[in-house]
Amino acid sequence: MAKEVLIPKTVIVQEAVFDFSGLYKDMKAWFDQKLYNFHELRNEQKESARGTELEIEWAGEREIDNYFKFKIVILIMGSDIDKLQAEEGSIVYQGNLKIFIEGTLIMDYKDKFKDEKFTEFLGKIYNDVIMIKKRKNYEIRLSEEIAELKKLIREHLQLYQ
Amino acid sequence: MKEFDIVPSLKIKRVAVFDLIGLYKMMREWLDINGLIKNFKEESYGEGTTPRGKDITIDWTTYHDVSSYVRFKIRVTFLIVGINKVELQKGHKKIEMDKGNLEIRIDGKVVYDPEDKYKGNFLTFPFTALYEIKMRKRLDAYKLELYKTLYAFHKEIKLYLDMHEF
Repeated sequence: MAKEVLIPKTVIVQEAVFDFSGLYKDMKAWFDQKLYNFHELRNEQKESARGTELEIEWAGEREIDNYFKFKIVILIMGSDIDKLQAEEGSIVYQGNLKIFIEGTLIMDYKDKFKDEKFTEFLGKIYNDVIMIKKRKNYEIRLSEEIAELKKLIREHLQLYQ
Repeated sequence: MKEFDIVPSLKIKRVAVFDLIGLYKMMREWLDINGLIKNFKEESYGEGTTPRGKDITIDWTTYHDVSSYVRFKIRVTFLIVGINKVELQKGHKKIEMDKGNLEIRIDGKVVYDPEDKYKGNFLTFPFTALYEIKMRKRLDAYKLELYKTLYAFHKEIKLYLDMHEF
């Protein structure tokens, strides 16, 4: 049975003027560059008197080998967002933005150890004893990839690194 | 027959002023241009009037046979709630638009041997088995093709609704 190891969730918050279109495109390009199987699960935009409310949910999955898979889920939440025209003519946005990033290391995603109690027990030993070193390495690798994505977002939002 | 989900249900939601008839036509045209209108079917269309406006539900399905062994299947559902006509001034002209809550879901599947033609019996087995081996290798390419088609459609809808897209 597939086992999931969660990487601690990260939240980035910004209340300022930012180039949201650029951020959105670059984040998607990052998933493509890292060969994630990408999905935009939800894109909701609601206009109100205070500005646009935004909720976008993405999920990216990448098979590392026959046993391990990385999954990154992004939730972008925006409120009171207004479109502005910058001095040089480009469009920027002003408002509140929250980006949640959640990483998961999925083990046995092909469900090799399932169905019976004995195979599940074998799977537990395999995951927690035999694969422990590999698992730790992949956890680090996924954390590093998330940190890279975080850096890209912070650069876009002009936050301190 | 085997079915492979290519995308989880892709949801687009917009609460704003938009041109619903224009969107409807654009989406049908897009399916036409991309060879998906031949087997197009409006499975259901429901309309009701409530105090907050008109509610509409539409369900579309279409498919395209890439080969006798592979079929692309697409489902589009609309859920439109509380829609009202509004008039906007555009230059010297007044144009009629729609204001309300729109939700579109897109689902796509690759269907492998949709009519169970190659299920085979002991006589045809050697031929169907060879064909199946050949087709399995191509299946990933077909999955990618449908993935790209679905996201191109998704992008067009978002562009029409003036939403963020990549």
